[in-house]
Amino acid sequence: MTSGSREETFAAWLQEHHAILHKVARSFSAAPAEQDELVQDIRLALWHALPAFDGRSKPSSYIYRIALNRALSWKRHRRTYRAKLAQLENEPLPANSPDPRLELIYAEIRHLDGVERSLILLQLDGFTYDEIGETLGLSPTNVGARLTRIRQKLAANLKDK
Amino acid sequence: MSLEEMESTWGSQSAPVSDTAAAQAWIDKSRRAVRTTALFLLVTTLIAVGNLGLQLHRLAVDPDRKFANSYSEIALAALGAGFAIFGVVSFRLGQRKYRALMHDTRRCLELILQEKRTEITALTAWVPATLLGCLGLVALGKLQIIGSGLETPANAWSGVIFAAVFFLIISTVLIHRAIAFVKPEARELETTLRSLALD
Repeated sequence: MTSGSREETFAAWLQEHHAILHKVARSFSAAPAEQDELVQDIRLALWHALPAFDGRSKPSSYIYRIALNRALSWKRHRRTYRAKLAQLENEPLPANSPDPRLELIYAEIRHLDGVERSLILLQLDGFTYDEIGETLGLSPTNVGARLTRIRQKLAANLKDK
Repeated sequence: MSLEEMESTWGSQSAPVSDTAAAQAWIDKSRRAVRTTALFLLVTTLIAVGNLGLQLHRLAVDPDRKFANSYSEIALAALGAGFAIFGVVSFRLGQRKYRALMHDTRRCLELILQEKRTEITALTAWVPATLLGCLGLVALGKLQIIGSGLETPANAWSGVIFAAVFFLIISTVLIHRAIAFVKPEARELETTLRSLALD
């Protein structure tokens, strides 16, 4: 991949799929400053990963893979800071939140562990079990079984909200 | 809220506006920073290794130079070269993390965990061992000085103790980093990997 085409592809991917970066960042952190930092980190990781894209998977699937892998390893560097933020995360939503229902969904996703978050994010964005399995290194059967459990958990938590 | 409502709410969310130009500018800035760091490390390593080679060469060819009167230069050069090489290895590990991200999550986490374990070994074993080697050099030099009567044993050993305390402080800082930061990260990676392995 030449330098020019790499930049063009990068710009096109960001234009078309930047929502993925924000969804992943929002699912892994409640603090806007941390979300911005994670989005920047994912963009940089994406830039480095771009030449290795072989076209066998969809760009969105590849972007999700990079974003989730970065988010799963990024979180670890902010463990102490996140512990301090845990109290803030549990506080009630601000009254002027742009979409309280969406905030609620993200809050519930953040209560799941890293692998569960990755699974539900991919499913909510319409990826098949095969694609999810390929992204996370799981078998499609395993993906299905796990997603059933996660959906049950989410249904129970969201029931009265 | 039902799962169907959750899915419809999720599908209707609007994405923030993408600022591609700002992202590209940030990437360019990061690339420049990486290039500058790589260049700095390369120059530092060349100087440090060259200096060590020069000291050893002078010891070999100059009949007036004995280990006793050049050990401090050799120890300092060895220490400088050791730190420069440590910097290069750390930089390469930092760059390798991007390659790990291209694999599926399971493989990616395995690779990152492998790097964390290498880092723990380096911080707790290899760097202290290198420092111990430098301390050995200092002790050997001081022994020669005592033997030739250029310094009293009390003076010579106080120098060795000073060097030992210096190396001990550096080792303690590195071992603390390994225990307080890197090991918990590795444990958390292991937990995530175990949760991926569960059927």
